[in-house]
Amino acid sequence: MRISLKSIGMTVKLLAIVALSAGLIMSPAMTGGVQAEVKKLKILSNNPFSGKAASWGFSQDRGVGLAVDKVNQAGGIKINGETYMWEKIQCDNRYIPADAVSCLKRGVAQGAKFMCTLGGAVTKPQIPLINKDKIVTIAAIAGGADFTNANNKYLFRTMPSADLTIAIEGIKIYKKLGVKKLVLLTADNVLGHSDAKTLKNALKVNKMSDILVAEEFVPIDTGDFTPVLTRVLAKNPDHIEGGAWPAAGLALLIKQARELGYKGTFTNLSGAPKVGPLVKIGGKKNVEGVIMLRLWPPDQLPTQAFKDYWAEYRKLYKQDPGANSWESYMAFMHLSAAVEKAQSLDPDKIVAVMRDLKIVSLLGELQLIGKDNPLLPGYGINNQYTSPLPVTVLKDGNPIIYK
Amino acid sequence: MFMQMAVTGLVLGSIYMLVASGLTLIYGIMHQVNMAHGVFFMLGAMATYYATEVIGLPYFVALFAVVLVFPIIGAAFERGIFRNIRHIWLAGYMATVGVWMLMEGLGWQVFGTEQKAVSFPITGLIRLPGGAVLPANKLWVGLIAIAIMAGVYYLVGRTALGRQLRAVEQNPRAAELMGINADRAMAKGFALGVTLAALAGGLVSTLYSVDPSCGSTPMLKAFIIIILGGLGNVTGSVIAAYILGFIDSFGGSLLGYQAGHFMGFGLVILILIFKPSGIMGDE
Amino acid sequence: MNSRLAPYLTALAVMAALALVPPLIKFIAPDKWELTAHIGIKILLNVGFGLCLWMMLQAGELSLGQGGFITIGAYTTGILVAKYNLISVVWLGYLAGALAAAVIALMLGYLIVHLKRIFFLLVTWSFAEMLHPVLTSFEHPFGGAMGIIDIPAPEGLTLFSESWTGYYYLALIYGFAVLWIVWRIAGSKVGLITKSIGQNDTLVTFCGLYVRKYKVMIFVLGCFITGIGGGILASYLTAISPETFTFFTSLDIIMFNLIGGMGTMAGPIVGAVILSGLNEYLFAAGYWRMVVYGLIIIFFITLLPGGMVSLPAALRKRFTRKTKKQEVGLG
Repeated sequence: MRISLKSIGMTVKLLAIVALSAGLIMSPAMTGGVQAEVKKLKILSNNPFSGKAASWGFSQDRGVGLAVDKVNQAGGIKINGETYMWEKIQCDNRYIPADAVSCLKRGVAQGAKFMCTLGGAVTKPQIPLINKDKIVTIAAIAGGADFTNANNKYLFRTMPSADLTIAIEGIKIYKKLGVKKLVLLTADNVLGHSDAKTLKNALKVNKMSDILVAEEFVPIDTGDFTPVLTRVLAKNPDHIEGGAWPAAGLALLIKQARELGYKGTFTNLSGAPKVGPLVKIGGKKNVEGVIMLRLWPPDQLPTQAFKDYWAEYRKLYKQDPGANSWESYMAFMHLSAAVEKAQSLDPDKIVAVMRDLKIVSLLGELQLIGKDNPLLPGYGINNQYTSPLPVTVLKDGNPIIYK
Repeated sequence: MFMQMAVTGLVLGSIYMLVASGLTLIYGIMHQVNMAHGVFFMLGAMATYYATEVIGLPYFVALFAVVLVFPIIGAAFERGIFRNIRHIWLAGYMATVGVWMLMEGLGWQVFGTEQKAVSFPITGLIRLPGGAVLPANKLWVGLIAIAIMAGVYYLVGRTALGRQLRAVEQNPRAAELMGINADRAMAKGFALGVTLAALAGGLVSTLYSVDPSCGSTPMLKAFIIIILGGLGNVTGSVIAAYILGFIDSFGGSLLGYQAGHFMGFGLVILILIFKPSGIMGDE
Repeated sequence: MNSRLAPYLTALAVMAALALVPPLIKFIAPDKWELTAHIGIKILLNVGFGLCLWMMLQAGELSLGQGGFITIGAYTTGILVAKYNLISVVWLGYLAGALAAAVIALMLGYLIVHLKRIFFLLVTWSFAEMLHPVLTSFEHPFGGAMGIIDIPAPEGLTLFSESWTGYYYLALIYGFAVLWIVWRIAGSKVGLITKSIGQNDTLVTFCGLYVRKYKVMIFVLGCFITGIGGGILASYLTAISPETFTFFTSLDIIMFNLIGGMGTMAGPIVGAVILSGLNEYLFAAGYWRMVVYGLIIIFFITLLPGGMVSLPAALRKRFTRKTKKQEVGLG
């Protein structure tokens, strides 16, 4: 066998390629080799930070972030004599279901045992993994028993479910307004479809099924609702339920409905849109009288702790907090307290403690409900957070508590 | 209801026509599919927002400022990035994608995630026979769009600049032999296209909301239109814009939103397969 | 060393090295294994997708609809295996997904392969965009806006102690199988014909060859292989929805070729490794990800149009020119 210069070159090249490709794959294992001494508890913030739902994502992430800082500043939590600090790791899921699964996989890979996420559409595909890896999850999701049930032990709902918003408060509001012809015009996503199901069920229970004259689903990034509004306004409704719109979508929907001569009322029971953009885009006159849930008027905050939270959020981010920011803040505080009380990192022990733990948080007493609760059919498990639920109405561009 | 659908179709058609005009021109002159069209639309809307709501200029003054500033921005992009690569079609296409991603990403950083609104100075409601209503702002945006389109026709068809642009489009080398600076003419064409996109942003954003991705949906519509109309064919794109306006209006009202969306792209595929030169093409 | 065998040996050696990564990392840094596996899986699948597009590019077909074919593969697998349980073997589900992608590619390809350049790009893009309203509008069989969940892992993956390792090896086999197929085709008569079609299809017609047949063939084959990858991704992600693979997925696949360089087969591989690695690192970055993407595209288009593969040559050229100048200066 003759060894030529060329073949030596070939061998060197080959070895180089082998080393390079192995190195590239292994590089993540090499980074961050030296670990700090403080033990870390990681919570994955699996939220949209870009795209149409980014404002929800930031709001949720900031709420949890503030809570993480609060616990850490107080010295972290002690489990069996050892101090643990919380660490929040972010992953941008762009409000795309598969990206959220990818994010969860990344988070698990990075050692996260806890997670906060939002949106029924992006949470649903994560459920098999959450159950398999026992990730204790606090999630801002609407829907009802299809998320919160005895099979999903590790998934806790931070916002009031559609069974609390639409089925209870919603029906009360419809009765009070004397709605005769109701139209549901909501987002074409999991949240919208699940709201529709709950609404139809609640109407049936209350023997009001005949008031629903039309239901339409439109993509969440729709700009021009005129064609679809023309379609539903032909049925002469006196009330439009928006369900799950963020601020811009709801504002455009209302504005264009008014432009088409619609005189009736609006509710948006599960979206909790930001009031500022809603009024600016929709126009003060058009959005007058819109009824929404979960929004606290800044001048009618119930407790001092909540006022402090509001002020701190404003100071840091130069805007009012959104509903899911304080809901996830409170849920995280509850979760952290439960971990400390359980004196264990075993997810099963933690969730067992969580279900019975009551703490005092921003809005007063915070606890989990769902088991044996006639209002929450089919839940069968204490995985639904509950706290006072404000009903607000827009008056002169400002939210006030609706009586 | 029929009357209302027809009115909505006409309004949407006029808006689509304006949004597509810049895209058509840039393809027509440079044979480049401009994927950054949506961000120039967004920048125009943002510029109008900052000029009116933050600085406090009157709306039409702000629009005029857009017309003054955006040719410079367009020419700068053409000189900086697109000039050297326009002879390779794929490089040109991907470079516009790069500009799109870069500008939208920066837009989110700079302008924030909160949605904004620009208000149109003319408000009110016009009642039409047949039970249809037309908001005054939509009427005016539609009329201004038609006026701008007439201006574009005049500019391309009747002025010295238009003759240069058409010459360059037909044969850049022959145009150079006739004493036209083809590079400069293309820069002017690109600047014109960018200005039209920004102007569309400033006008159309008054009807909807403004955020750094607000150009994506209009751009998608504009793409459907320029393909239907035949790439680069101005008259074709005007007709295609109204066709799409009526599809969206009648399809959305009679069959639901997704059906209208599907029909738009279905038409595009059929046109591309059977008549790639578009509805007005002479192939 | 036989030069004909050298590429195969290189590939085999790289594959063996990559196959050794899991035990090695589990030994050195066990807590980093999942993250490494996740990134490795993404990279290896993307290498496959990038190579499929490269093969089509040789025939002058630049498809902006590859995300659509991944979607078709993934949905077919999901519908048959998870939603209606029509097929009990997941591997057959992958095959069905690939066949579905190939059949649709055959119908579409037959109609559109005569289109060139931007027209081909636009029609494939429109096709991928059209899938979205179809998938969201029908609860049966597509699952509406929710999509399909609970897609199982293929049989045999349980041989490994945890699923990360299994998917890693599956992706490794997929990546290298695609490499092998594309390699063999590029070197075959069909490969040479498609390459000459990409350069000048009129001349190929004059040679008495039926251009359309070869173009359709390459298009269908590329989509078939992409469809298998779609099925694997569906299993790996366990859930798919209409928004899972978007315009940006298709764009990424083009970018692998752009960043790596389209001239040689190494191009899409290098591009896929760099871009998907980068993508995973930028996950927390939100909008900065878009900025970085934009800058990368503009950089490669304007300064390094031959892609990363051409970097050594470009550097050498610059270097030698400089030394020559120095020589002149010295002389």
